[in-house]
Amino acid sequence: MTVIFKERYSIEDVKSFVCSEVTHVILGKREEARSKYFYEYIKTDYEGKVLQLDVDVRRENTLTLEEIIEGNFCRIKTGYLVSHLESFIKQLLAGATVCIDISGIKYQLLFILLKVLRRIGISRLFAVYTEPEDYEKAGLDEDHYSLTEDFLGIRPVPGYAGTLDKKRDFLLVPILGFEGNRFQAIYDHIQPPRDRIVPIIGFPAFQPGWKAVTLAANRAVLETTDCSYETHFSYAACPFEVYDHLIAIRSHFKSSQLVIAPLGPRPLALGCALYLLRDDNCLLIHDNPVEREYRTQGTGKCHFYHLTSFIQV
Amino acid sequence: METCQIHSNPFLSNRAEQMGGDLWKYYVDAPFSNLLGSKPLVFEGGRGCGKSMFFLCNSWFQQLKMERRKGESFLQKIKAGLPVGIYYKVDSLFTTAMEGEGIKESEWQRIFATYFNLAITREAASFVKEMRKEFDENEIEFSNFFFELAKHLCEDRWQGEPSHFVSLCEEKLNNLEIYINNLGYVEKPLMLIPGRLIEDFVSRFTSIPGYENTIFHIFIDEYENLFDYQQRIINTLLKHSRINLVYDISVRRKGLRENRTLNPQEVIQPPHDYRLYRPEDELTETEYHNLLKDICSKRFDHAGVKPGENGKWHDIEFYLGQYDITAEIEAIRTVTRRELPFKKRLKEIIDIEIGDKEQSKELVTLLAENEDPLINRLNLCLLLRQRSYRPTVHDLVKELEKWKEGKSPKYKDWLHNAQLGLVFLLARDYRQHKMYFGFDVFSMLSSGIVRYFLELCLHTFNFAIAEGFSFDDPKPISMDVQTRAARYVSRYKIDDIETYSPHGKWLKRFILILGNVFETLHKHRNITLGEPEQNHFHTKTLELEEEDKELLNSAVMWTTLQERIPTKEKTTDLSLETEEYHLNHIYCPYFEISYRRKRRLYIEPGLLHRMLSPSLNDAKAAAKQLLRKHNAKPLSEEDIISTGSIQLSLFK
Repeated sequence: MTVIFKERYSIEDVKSFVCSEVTHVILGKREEARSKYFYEYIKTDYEGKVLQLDVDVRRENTLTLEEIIEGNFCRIKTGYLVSHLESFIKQLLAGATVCIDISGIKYQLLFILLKVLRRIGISRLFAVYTEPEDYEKAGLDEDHYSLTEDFLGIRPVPGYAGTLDKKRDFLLVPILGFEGNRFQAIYDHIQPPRDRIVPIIGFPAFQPGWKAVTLAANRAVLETTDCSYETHFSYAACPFEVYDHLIAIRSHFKSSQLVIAPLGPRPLALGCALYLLRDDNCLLIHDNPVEREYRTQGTGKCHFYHLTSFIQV
Repeated sequence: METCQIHSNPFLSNRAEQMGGDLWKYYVDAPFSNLLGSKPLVFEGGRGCGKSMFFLCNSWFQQLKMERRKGESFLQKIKAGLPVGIYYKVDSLFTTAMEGEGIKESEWQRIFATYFNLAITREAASFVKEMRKEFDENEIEFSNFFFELAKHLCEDRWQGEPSHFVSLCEEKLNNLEIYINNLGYVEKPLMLIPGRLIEDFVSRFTSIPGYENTIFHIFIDEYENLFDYQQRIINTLLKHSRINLVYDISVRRKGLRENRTLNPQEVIQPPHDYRLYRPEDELTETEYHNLLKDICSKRFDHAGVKPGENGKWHDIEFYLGQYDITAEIEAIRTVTRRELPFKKRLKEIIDIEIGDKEQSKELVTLLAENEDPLINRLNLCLLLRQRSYRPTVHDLVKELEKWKEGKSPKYKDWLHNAQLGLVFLLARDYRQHKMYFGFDVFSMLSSGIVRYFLELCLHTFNFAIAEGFSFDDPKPISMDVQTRAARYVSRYKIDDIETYSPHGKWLKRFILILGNVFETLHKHRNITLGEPEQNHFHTKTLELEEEDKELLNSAVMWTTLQERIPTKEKTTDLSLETEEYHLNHIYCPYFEISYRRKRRLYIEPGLLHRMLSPSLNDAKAAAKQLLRKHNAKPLSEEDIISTGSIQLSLFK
């Protein structure tokens, strides 16, 4: 039996380890403070390579790979996400010790990246995530957040396309966030039976009171479907907890197709991505938000996760 | 007293897909019974208008259940002419993966055609699998039937049972899925010609003695979710429907974006190639009301609600009643204000015109102190009109006095035309929310979309149950509870717009601006009610910029706006110029505007373009300009009674 290690540290406790052991850091492309925090924190002591991956969701998922050389970004490859990601990074990362900063990485990229990293066989895998202090609010309403510029519609995450179970033996597992209308849109789209929804909410959240914000934002569907009784609560900064919740949900619904909709914070999306690596009877559903460039304020705690055993399963 | 043991809300499920296996029990056939024929059907309507329900309940699966429940033989029915419906809902979690990645569209076409062949034939084979034991073994040689069919899939390990063929299709679909998810890393699977496998299935089935005349209807639901090239493939199949194989589609308005087929010279058009059915246009008000009542009646029945005397507890109107203006005015008046602002203004106008203080005082009493506040409010509106349309104070008093004796058709007309418009003004004057209640009002709020009506009912009963309502002792539901439910639904429908891809955010902003314009025209200080209850607009469609048309089309597809031909002009041959855009009435409670189709507003294309502008400031400025044309200023925060922060911020 393979043992899965689920290690989570504060970045301050493992800085020297990261600087000496990690050979490749993968960053997303974002300008907000928390997305830059990790690299800024290690860069004076870190001597490995730094890659930046980005996908343009408005342009047919065009993929760009850049490398930071002497402090400058140099574009080295452009292609398509599904067709080219593996060939782009295979040579670069085979046998490497990789750390992904998920704070600024696009969801579409995160899921397929883990799948590809497992396939190409890297030595060790870590991830970091920097919490924001707050998210951008929408106008006057204190509890209404505006995190998204637009939605490109509900589509499969690249590399995870699949057909919805024909006999409708599926279970919707939405990971809820602050934008309740996203849950509503997904619910409207796949129209699950009322007793086939098991939401997951990030709690404890990054800040006190955010659980209530999430519940209020998603109230319409939670009430209509009466599914709030089924809600699982999973620490918002821990991918392993949500992974365990998905295992528990699977054990209750052994033969059902799990339709997972990651709408909440990135560590929970990471947990979903890890789970998807081990369960074939799953569908990943996403509404393809175009996230605002500056959707968060400030930086909070920075977490470091050890994921190696997940990609070795 | 009759009692019943139900604790849940009969309206909890309001989507066809959620109602479980026995969907047919909830289905009301009446208005749709003659839609299926030898000509393909395009069933066009907004989300929730009943398209899926219609297709699902005419599919073999539901028909079989219904016939079995009746104890009748489904196969005998088919032999006697009942068509076999094969239901397919566009699986956009899969079909939307079929683009981009540097692959040519022609290649994606082949992939989609293969997928569609497999998905439909799998379902058709499932029908044979389910009926396997009921077929006469002398009638059909299954091993040969499926052996020949499997040749399309290059299979020689074939055993001939329908269940094996279903598994084979699933295996091929899985291979296709793996291929799409790993482009460039796995071998390309076998490709099929559009519709070929389906045609062969139908040909073989209709060669079975006794089934020569069987018609297979392929129901394609949510067609709008297909890419344009995928629509062209389906159009090709629809165009070439034949006597035993008919392709029918359901689609939202503006969702049939592509009318070409795979042959660039060929298009599909009604009535030549298909019958176009739009329930929003074709159902009369009475038919729609009957449909809603029948649907609700079935809900009550299945939820275990006892019918009561003459079935009244199964009649939704028993719970909702009808709109009653007198009741609403009474409710508005329960709040007393020291001085109503409109009375002060009326007094000022009379003072200025009459001059003499004593006489003026007497006239103020006659025009502003009537028992019915509607009359007092109407008098102010009439005196605010432009000179040529405005009665003098003395004339107005005369007409009012005559009307009280039943002798003034003029005043009667004024009141008749302005009555509901006055309620909006009074609600504002008394600092009350406009109320939305009654079966007739809920029906109008639903805008021809059955699901919206059911959602209004769901939340009405939810609120009522929370306040002690029970089906053990059914009672009419108060207008206050109904209003709260209507406002709740309206609010979340506004929030939902944001996710209507691809222009959701933009669309939401436009709807908020447009709704604010209509709200202002319902409530501003200078309102004369010469053009009451403006809640829709028209423009010169042919002069619109392409990007504006695209946004309006998106709004129509998501039914945030509804395109309608004016009733008076339906019989004439119209150009697109006369089409009107109606704000979906489900948003009326949010903006507190009228749900009736009364007066329209003209927005010239240039101004509309600015209202649709990506610049929020430009859009707001255009809205203000439009209001100025109507002698209206944006409402102040004082005028708006906490209808939401987003709305408040718009005119700042």
